[in-house]
Amino acid sequence: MNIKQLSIFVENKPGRAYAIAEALSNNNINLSALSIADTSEYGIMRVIVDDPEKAKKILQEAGVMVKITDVIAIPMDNSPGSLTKILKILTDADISVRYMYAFVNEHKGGAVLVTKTGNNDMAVAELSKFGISTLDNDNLF
Amino acid sequence: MWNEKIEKMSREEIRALQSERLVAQVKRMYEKVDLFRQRMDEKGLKPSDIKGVEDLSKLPFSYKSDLRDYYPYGLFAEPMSKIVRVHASSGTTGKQIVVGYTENDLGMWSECVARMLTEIGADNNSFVQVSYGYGLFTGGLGAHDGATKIGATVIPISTGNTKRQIQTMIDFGTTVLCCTPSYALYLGEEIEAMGVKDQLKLKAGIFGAEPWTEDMRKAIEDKLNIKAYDIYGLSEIMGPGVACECKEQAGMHVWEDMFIPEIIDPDTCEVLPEGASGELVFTTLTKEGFPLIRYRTRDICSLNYEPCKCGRNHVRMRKPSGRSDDMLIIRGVNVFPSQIEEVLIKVSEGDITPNYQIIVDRVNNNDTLDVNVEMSETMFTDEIEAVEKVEKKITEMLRSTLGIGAKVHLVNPKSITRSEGKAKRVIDNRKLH
Ligand SMILES: [Zn+2]
Repeated sequence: MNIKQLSIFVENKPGRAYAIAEALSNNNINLSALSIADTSEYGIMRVIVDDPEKAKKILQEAGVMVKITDVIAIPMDNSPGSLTKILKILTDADISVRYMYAFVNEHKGGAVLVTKTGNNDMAVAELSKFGISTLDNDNLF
Repeated sequence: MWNEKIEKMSREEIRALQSERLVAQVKRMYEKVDLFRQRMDEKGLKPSDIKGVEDLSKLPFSYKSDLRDYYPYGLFAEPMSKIVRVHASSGTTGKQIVVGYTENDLGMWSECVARMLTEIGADNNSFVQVSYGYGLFTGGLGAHDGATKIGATVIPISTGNTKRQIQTMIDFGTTVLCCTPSYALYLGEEIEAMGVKDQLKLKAGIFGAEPWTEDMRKAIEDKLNIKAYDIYGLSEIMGPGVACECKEQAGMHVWEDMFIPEIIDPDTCEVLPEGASGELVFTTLTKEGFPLIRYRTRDICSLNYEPCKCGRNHVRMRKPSGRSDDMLIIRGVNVFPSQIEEVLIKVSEGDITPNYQIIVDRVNNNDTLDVNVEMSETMFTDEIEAVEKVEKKITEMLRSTLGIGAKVHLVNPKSITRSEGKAKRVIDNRKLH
């Protein structure tokens, strides 16, 4: 199961990231995960929200470059080695990891690993072979 | 003077010589250049209708776009067997424009530069350091051949490596320096910093290929302890030396035995009265390989026909005060915004071309070129490496298209200020006029 991530272009100027977060919260968009990959001049902000289509519209209207990207969300228990286990499954199946970030999901009482891989569908299938079921946008919130 | 007979001609003598040469040039070009013949025919003109300079304004104009449309050799008036050299410069699009010279053309060109060098006090005992770029750009070889003609010792060092430039000046005893004015100023500052000013033998410098101000002249003269002279030219007409300052430093003498300048209103194309400011138009009288009639330079300036204190009557042109098109001269290189647009069209692969803005500035006497590009759907992805790749691609394509480096900045969509719905394409923060 893939989930929808918002990928947002952010210039490295004071207040840019804040303006984006503010636009979302003003419109009651619930933001549950965020990561930024950046260079010295700009970055790509990746966020998981409860209503990606609505959030995309809001940001576009605010003049922000935004795209929706398919990623997968994998629940992790708090035991040591759970990340290693997931990565091993993907590595053994020869699936590349483009990027990943994690967040704590309070409601579900555990961490969630968000990743984009070279082949998301194959990754989901491989993980399920090991009893790991990926999350969808609905059961994240 | 290098060529007293020509340089000291009276206005009447100049006009008689120009008439004779113009009639011959028109006749020759009508026979040899298809485009010129077509344009004459369109106007119902025969070469016999041109009896002297008084008929010049009847003749059709020629344009930079002609050089693109007939690229590379379509406008040459001699077979390639007679062409001994080509030079090239930027066109308005990605494609460069090319010009050709016969052996006689090169001789006339070096004659122009030789007249200037002699005027500013250079002779066969001089050491002329040519710090213009050598290559397809006309600056390096143009100055080189002129200095060779007067028998000076030429130091063909070309551009770059400032420390070595200065060491060479000291060790080789350079007396005349040829480079862009901004580089001269930069050299002057380095020389001050190195504290070697008293080891220099420099007397004069010939600076051109980019706009510069009287303040820059004063700064260069002060820092290098020389007289700084302005030179004008464009590759379409010949190269540097079409017009040169004399010791009076009061306008550049156009060598009227070889070129006829006119000033026109760029909108109505009417010839303007003496002294008026408008677009400079050139007709080449002696060029064989690549002659042009009434070529629109797009430079805005005025002409002064008063006799000069130096004893010459060749008309003097003022330093150009701007352009009638949007060409920029950055580090001596001609840059058109359309070239940058063309790169962005290619990068957006058929999608809407992103908005862009060109920012030119001068920092530490060096021109800087920044290009802001609004992020577009085609360029943006969720992976930073992919976005960096796009940025790098634009940077590399700009370098190869423009011939100079540009710093690319990816910015937010719709963040470039628009006035009346149109983005302002060029911001030139240099104070050059
Ligand atoms: Zn003079």
